[in-house]
Amino acid sequence: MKYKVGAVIYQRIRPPRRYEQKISDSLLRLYGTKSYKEKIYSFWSKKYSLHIYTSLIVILLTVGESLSSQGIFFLGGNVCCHYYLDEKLKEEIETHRRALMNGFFEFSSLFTLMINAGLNYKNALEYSIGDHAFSPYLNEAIRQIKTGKSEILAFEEIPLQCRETVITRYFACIVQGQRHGNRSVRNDLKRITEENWNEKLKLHRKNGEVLKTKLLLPMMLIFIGILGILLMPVMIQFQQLM
Amino acid sequence: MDYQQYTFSKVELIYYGLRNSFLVVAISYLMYKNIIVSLASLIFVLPLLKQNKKACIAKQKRQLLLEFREFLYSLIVCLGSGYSIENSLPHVVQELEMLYTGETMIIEEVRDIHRRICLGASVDDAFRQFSQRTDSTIIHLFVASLSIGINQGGNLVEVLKENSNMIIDQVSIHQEIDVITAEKQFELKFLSIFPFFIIALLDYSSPSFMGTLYTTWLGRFGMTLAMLVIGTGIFLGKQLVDKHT
Repeated sequence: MKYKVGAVIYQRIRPPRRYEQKISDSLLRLYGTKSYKEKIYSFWSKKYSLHIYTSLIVILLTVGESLSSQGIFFLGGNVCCHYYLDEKLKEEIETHRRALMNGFFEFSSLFTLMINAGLNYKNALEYSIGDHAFSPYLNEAIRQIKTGKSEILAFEEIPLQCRETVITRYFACIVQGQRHGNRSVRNDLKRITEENWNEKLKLHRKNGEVLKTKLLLPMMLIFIGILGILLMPVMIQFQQLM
Repeated sequence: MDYQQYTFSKVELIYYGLRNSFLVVAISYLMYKNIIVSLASLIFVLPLLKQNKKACIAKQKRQLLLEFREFLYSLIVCLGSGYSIENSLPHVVQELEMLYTGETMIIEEVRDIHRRICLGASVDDAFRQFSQRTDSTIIHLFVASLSIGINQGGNLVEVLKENSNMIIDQVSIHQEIDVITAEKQFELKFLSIFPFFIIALLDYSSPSFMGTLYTTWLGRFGMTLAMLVIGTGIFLGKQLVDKHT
C-alpha cells in the first residue's frame, strides 16, 4: 500500500479535531453516508504520507545547506502539500456538486412531468432515472423499494446522501405528501421544479462571474507572450551592440 | 436526420476551408514572415474544420430547440381548440410555415411524424423516433409525457398542455443560459484576436523594430516561444469557458 506509512501515523497522531471534522463533512458531501468513512481514512493516510515524502525529499535536496534555509524549504514544502490536498478536495466537491445538480435538474423535470402525466411515485422514479451523476442515488432508492423498504424511507434516504438544500426541499415535498397526504402535491412539485430551473440559471450566472476572474490567468499568459514579443527586439539589438 | 452528425454542404466546406486557411496562413505569416512556414501551417486547417463541425452541431441543436418551442406553442393552441394530436399536426405545420420562410428542421420533422402516423405508426412511436435522433433532454421530456399520457389514459390534452407550458419555460431558461455562454465565448474570441492585432500593429507602425524578430534565429526562437505561451493562454481560456458554461 502506497500510503501505509501515513495510515500508521494517522492512527497514532490525530489532526486537530475541528479540522478533522471539517474534512469529514467535505468527504460526507462528496461520497454520501455509505462510503465516506473509508474515504476519511484513505484521505488522512494520503495526506500524512504526502507530508512525510515531501519532508524526506526536501531534506535530501537541501543536504549541506544552512539550517535556516533547510527549515524554510521544509516549511514551504509542507505548507504547499497541506494546501494542495485541501484545494484538490474542494475542487472535487465543486465538480461533483455541479454534476449532481445538473443531474437533479434533469431528474426533477422528468419526474414532475411523469407525476403530472398520472404515474405513481415508484413508476415515475423508475422512468426518470436517466444517466447522470444523480442516477446512482435513484438506483439505490429503487433497489431499496424493490427489496421491501417503504417508499417514504427510500425517498428520505436520497437527500441524506446528497446533502443539497434544493434536493432536500424537493424530496421533503414528496415525503410529506405521501406521509400526510397532500392534494396539491403536483402543483407543489411543479413550483419547486420551476424554482430549480431558476436556481440553475442563477448557478450559470454565478459561474459566469467566477469565470471572469478565472480568465485572468489565460489573459496574463497572453500578455506575457505579447510582452515577450515587445522585449525580444530590444534584447536582440542590445546583444548585437554588445 | 441525425442531429448528432453534421455534413458540410459544398458552399460551407469552401467557406470554412478558405476561412481557416486564411486564418492559419495570416497568423503564421505574421509570426515568421516566411512563405514556406505559412504554407506548412496549412496542416492545422483540418483540426479547425473539426472544431467548426462541432460548433455547427451545437448550433443545429440550439436552433432545433427554438423551433421546437414554436411547435409546442402551436400544438397547445390546436389542442386547446379541440383537435386531437393526430389532427393538429397538419395545422401546426401550416402555422410553422407561416412563421418560418422555407423548410426548417421542425417542419420537416412534424411532416415526417404525421406521415408515419398516417401510415399506421402509433403517435407514441412516431414521436419517440424523433426524440431518439435529437438526443435533447427537453424533447425527451415532451415525448415521455406524451407516451405516459397515451399509455396510462387520463385527460391527455390537459396533461400535454400543462407539460408543454413547463417545457416552454425550460426552453426559455436554456436560451438565457445560452446568452451567458455566448457572452463568455465572445470575451474569449476577443482575447484570442488581441495579441495578433498588437503584433500586426507593431509590424505596421515600426517594421525596423520588429525586423530583428524575423531575420535572426534568436528572434524566430523568441517568436515560437511567444506563440506557444499565447497558444497555451488561448487553450486554457477555451477549456475554462467550456467547463463553466
